[in-house]
Amino acid sequence: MTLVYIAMALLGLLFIGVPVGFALAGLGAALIALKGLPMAMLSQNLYGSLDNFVLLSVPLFLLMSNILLKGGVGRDLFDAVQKWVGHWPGGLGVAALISCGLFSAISGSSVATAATVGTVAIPEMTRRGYGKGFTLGLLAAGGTLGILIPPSIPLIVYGVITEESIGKLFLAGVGPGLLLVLLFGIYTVIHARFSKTQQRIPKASASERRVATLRALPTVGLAMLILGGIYSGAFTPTEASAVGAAASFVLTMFFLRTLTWRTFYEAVRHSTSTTIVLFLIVVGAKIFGKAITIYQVPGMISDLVDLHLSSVDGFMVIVTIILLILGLFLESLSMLLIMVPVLFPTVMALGVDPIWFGIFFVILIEVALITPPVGLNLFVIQAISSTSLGVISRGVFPFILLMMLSVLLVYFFPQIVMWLPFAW
Amino acid sequence: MNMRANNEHKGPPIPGLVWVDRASELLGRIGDVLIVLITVLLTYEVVARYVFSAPTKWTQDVSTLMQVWFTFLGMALVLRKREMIRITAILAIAPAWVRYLFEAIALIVILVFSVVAASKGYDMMQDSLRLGRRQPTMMAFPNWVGELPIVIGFALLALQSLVELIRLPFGPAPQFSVSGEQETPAAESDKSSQVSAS
Amino acid sequence: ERTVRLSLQLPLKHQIGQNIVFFKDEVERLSNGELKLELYDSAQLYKGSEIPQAVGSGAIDMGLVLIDEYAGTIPAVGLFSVAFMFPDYDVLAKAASPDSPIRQKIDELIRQTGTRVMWWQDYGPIQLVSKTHLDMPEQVKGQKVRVLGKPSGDFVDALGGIPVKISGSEQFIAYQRGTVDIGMTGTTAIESRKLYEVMDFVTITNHAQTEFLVVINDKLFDSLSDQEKKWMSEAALAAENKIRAETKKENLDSEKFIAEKTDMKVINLTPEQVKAWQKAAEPAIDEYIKSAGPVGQELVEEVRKLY
Ligand code: NA
Ligand code: NA
Repeated sequence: MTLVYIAMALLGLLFIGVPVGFALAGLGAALIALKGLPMAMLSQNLYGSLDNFVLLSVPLFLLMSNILLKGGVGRDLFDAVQKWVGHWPGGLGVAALISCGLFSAISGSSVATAATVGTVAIPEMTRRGYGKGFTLGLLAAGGTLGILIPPSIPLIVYGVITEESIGKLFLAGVGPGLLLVLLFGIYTVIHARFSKTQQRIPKASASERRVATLRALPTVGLAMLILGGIYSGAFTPTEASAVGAAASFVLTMFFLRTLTWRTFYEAVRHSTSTTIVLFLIVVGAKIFGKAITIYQVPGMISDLVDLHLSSVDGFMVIVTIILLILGLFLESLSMLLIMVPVLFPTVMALGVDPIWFGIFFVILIEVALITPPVGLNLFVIQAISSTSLGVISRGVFPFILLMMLSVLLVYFFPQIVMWLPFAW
Repeated sequence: MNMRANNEHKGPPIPGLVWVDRASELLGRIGDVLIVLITVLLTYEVVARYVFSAPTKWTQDVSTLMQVWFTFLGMALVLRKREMIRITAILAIAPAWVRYLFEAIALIVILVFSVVAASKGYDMMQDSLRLGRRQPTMMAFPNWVGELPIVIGFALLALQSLVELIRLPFGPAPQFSVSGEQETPAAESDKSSQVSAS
Repeated sequence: ERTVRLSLQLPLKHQIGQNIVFFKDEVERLSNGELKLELYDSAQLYKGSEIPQAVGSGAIDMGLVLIDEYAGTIPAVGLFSVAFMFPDYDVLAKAASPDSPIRQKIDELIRQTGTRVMWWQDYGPIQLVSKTHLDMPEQVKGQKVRVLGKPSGDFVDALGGIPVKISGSEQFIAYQRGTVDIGMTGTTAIESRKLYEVMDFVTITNHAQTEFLVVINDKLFDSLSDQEKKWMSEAALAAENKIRAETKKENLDSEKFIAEKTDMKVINLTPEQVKAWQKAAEPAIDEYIKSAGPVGQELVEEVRKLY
């Protein structure tokens, strides 16, 4: 019963529009007070949830993405990739997809990836006769790679709350990230075979390729610096985020000369406010998590699971369904922050690998980002393209199916996730 | 979901209210400076380690402390600008009086929580000062340095939510949309150039 | 009837967690269920670093904490982490035993922060792990070394190494990628965290000691009846003796496992080499006395009486 009351109170607060962070924190505080426990629990958790060096990579990766976005590196990247694969059937789509994958390797955010590549790829693709629904769906879905291919803000947050290695989580995201690029790519090429309007673009000459590639090289270099830096052990993920932000600033301000002091300040301001908004949810989720622990809620949930499903299969099916439904309405990171503390004890008890579970969870977050009515990537693509949510949602549907296919593949072939972190 | 009420309420013209706005604005801007400083510090740390072979012992502690500061100091400005993440699926289609009511409830939740957090934070800081608590890190900073922004930040957030609550009945009914942008084309270009954490 | 809540950052099936479960069973057995314990494991409620403040303020009744977490506030309690403070394990065991004046002094210092120490959990000595053969302190010079906190940082400083603080969970990957050249960890962790897969040598320096404390809110303890205090203290003493015996065995078992079942080489230091390490680590002892003040001086003298 307690479980039902708490869930109803939380959903009530959320749906009347109390900001997510304060709905969690307020309800958590109320639960602690109701149990007659000292409110000192509150103040300590406020401090404790942010006193964390690993979490610091969140604002810094955001800053880096914002600087690159303002510096317009999306165009150079897309141009270069297009010169190599643009003449294939569905070549522009494949180019957009690969650009998303490459940008994902420097951005920790799906929204940034969708916005950066979408801004340049959508007009180009529609001009060449690519269907609106398909184009927008591809960019919305391709953008979600941003949180699977490292660096990734949700993986950082998952690592912080479960105390798993961020380095391992990042490596684990590479395999499934490439798998999704491959699945989306195959679909794009097949789709092109049946399209009557798509125009093939002529194959670029060697010199065209060289010029475009040279311009995109600094951005690719940036990705290598960050990932190479983390995996060679040269620096920690947090240091990598700082070095990345500083390097993007130098790159766009002094070399590409596409950043101005004004747009730089805008990038900083957006990064600060987005971080605060996010950290308030982190803090709220922490307080709420502590409160429900005192009420033994995680125990009740694992008891339910034990009673009704004794197998990992059953548990994963239920978790997938719950996350798909929550993902329709909940903002993606809120979903992670609310659900991981609740599910994690059972995950450990069932012997599911925590690194694998993190990747599984993030793929479902990606799905949440593109399922209507609430999907941040849908909104971003909507803002860029001025198209109705309905058109985008229909276009994105095949990609949701492909993502579900990848969930199945990752479930039946866990090596896709595990080979890199443990083989390296 | 990243939806905002599209306007900051203006009236009534009570002079004290503006000062709260200004304080929020100022502390929020300090946060911007801190983020840039953190970037510089940590980049310097990497350079110091590899180029000069002389890593510092303090950048990690100092930058983590700055993170605590900019987050709590910037909360009030985020509220003022209505940037917090909230679910607006129901708000978007609700009649005006419901939107007034729900907005008021949201502000009251923030107000009450902030008052409790500020006062409990103050107790914690007093305790740390009395016992001379220090962090068990290389720098061994006094604990109160990290606890002070909780007191300041939530006190300011309490004031700001009170101010917004006073303004609420004087302004037009708050407007929400499912995506936040649909009805306000001016916001589109801004939105597409903004990065969210997801 | 009374319920006492206890927070620990380790899982219940961990050796340290098992010891706390033993305490719970013992208290409930002695009191015939009148005194109950509720355990919150795996840092569900608090991280270890949060325990001093959480228990001190009464946010939680009892908690598990590494002794070093108090060292920021009261530098003197960092004694057991000061490298080569103890010449051998016997001296160390004497200093940490319940009737030792050193231990009692430290308990008294911790009590001033509003938390009373119920019992000490001895978790064994700390060793160095590395990719190259390491037996003399000079070899640390210019190397990046994982440290656990201030005292071990001072030790590495004294040797001319570069201290890098790395958490337990990032340890494996930091060694694998070479983020640090030399590691520092408990003997049993080499086995449990599979560090032997990424490091080639372990040098048995026994240079410091991991001590966990189980603490209780002082006001709460004072409010207990004499009968209840007796149950708690009796159970605590039983738990302490139990884990001390177990730890000795576990550490020897791990050492044996590493030597026989892994490719990792175990380096035992000769008495001359130990002397060289002790001498090299002296500045860290001075640093300890400097930050801990007269109490620190007093404690160091007490230790030297045990030599
Ligand atoms: Na990424
Ligand atoms: Na969704």
